[in-house]
Amino acid sequence: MRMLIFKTDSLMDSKLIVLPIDDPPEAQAMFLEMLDQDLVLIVVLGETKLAEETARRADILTGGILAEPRWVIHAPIREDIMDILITLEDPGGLVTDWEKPLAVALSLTDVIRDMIVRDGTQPTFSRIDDAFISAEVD
Amino acid sequence: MKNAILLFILLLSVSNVQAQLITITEMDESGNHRLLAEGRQAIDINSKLNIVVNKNAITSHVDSELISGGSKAVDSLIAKLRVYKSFIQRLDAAIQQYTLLFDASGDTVSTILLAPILRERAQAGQSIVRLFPEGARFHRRREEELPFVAGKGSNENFRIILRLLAEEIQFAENDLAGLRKQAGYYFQLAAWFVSSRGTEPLHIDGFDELAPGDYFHFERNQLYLTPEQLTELQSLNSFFEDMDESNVFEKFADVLPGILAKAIDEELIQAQIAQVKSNINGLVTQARAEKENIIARTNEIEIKWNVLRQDMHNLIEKYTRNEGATATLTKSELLRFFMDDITNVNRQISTIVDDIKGLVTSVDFQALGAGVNSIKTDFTSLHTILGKQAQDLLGHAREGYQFAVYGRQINAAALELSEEILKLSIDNIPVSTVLDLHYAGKRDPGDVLLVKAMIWKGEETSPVITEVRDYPVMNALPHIQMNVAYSFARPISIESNWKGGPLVSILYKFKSHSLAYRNFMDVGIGLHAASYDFNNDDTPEFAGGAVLSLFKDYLQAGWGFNFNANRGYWFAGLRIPIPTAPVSLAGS
Repeated sequence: MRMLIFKTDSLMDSKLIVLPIDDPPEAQAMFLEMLDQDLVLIVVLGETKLAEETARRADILTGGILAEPRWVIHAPIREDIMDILITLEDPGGLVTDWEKPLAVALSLTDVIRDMIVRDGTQPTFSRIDDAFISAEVD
Repeated sequence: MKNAILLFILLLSVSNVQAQLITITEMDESGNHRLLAEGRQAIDINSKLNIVVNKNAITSHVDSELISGGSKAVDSLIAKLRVYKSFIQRLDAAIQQYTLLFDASGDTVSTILLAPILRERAQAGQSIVRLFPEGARFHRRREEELPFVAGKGSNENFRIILRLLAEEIQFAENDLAGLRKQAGYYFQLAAWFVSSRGTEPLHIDGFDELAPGDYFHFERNQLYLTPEQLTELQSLNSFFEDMDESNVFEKFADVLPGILAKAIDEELIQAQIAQVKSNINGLVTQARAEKENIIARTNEIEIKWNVLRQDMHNLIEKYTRNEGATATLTKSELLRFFMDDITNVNRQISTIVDDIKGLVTSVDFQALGAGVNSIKTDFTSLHTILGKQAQDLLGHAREGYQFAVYGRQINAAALELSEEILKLSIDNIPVSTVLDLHYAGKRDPGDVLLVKAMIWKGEETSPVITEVRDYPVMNALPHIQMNVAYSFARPISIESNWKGGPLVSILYKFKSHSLAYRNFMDVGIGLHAASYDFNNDDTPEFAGGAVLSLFKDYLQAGWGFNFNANRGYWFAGLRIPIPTAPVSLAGS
């Protein structure tokens, strides 16, 4: 748990963490490390163009300031972190089949608060921002 | 910043239902600004008035009118605006809280503190986003804006929501404006100046096509004695013999007799009494005793009326010749005596009214037979006329009293609106304007400036809402005033009688916006120069010192030193009632 956030106005070029595609343990470790901090996360799953664009858009919506809690994780190989994903709390029953989400939004306490469905269309900026907002409401 | 201003303006637009239509600030010659919050308030005679039109209040009034007139469209728009307002306030506060958290001192932020603030911001934003259905303008605009938030912090995403909601408020406002326009509402702002010349309309930039009035600066820079004062000074020794008090009460010489003469319509009452007598004398009846009773009591009423008439004539004569003022030194005393006289007259009228009433109720008119109805009507008519005129008399007297204390009284409802006053649609009302009293032409303290703001609807002949402000003008700023007086000095340390002699004083007058204070107390402090003959050698000696004045300088007292006699003295003096010109310290 990250109880304290260091204040800084530092701008980051990106707040998007792309998990490695060829090292599952490392991907899991990185994912767990992110979950261990008090962050509001959009976790984008898959290696499609749609997923990449979704991660890029979500990255823009973080606002880029290091100290703020919004971050984005892109897991191109969803199976690498599946063992962890299925342990996450989902009180709303949003995810019944982990093949369906294109992205999920996690609250500060790592609870699933929104799910963007994988339906072949590109999620809009508004839809992704709404997901962030839903996770922050927690 | 721009957004914050926009937001502020928008919020105001939905919270001004009971606000005033105009806000007026006085800018006096000394550069002071004073908000004129009351309907009637004295202002300086050379001031400028900054008039700000509260457009939000106007639209709110119009909206209330429309709603009360049954406009559901307006009702729903206003309800929507209220909801938007509450949401926008909540989100704005949440964004600020979030900013403050990171701006506060210290290097770290506790996530325990962060979580609720993050939640509040998100909930506030979410509730706004959910107001609008899918595909709505709000969502399209949000999608256009969000790609450009990179590097601006997450607050920017919420500021977009805030801005877009503000846009929605603006759209709702525009819809409201359209409905108002459709209903034909318009606004007028007019001003008049009421002086001894009568009532004249004044030009207000942006609100009428009247020509500006004559420029006139109320001159307060006369630090010298006028020729009239010099003449008066020369004849000071015969002051008491020659004194003409008409100047003291010049304002009232015209007013007081007029009050008495105009309030009571003597001819009408006289004619009414004559008719009553004629009808009762001509009445043919068997009830002789009853008829005699009425005649006797009518005669008594006539006698009382004749006494009253004579008293009225005496009073009119008395106040026309200012005899009422001979025993008085201040306006307040004159007014008090006048009000006493009026009260006496009123009491006499009341006695007559009671007598008539007693007569009508006690006499058995039925016993008189035919023709009785006209007699009873005559008495009732006389009773009504006298009662009303007694009321008028008191009313006029009070008006006269208020005129003296507070300046002119105006019947604002009777003022006519010139065709040159523009009828401005709500959208085209100028935000503010300046009314410069210098362009009100020649004016004197006690004159009144009147400003009237009105909202009209269509072709209706009276305004939906009227707001009237009247401002008596006065010499309100600190100024210096010269006066001549006749004084009596008592030399110090020797046994001597009071010595009379002329005195000139230069008095500093304090700033005051109270007409009652200026007209009565009007304290002054300053210096004096006087000429006495302490040695009794018939040669005037030069003396000077400090002076304190009261009651508009009619009473002056102080301490001085006789330079020729080398002796100090105390003195008391009376101002000679001639006009003097006060001098402003603030003006050029």
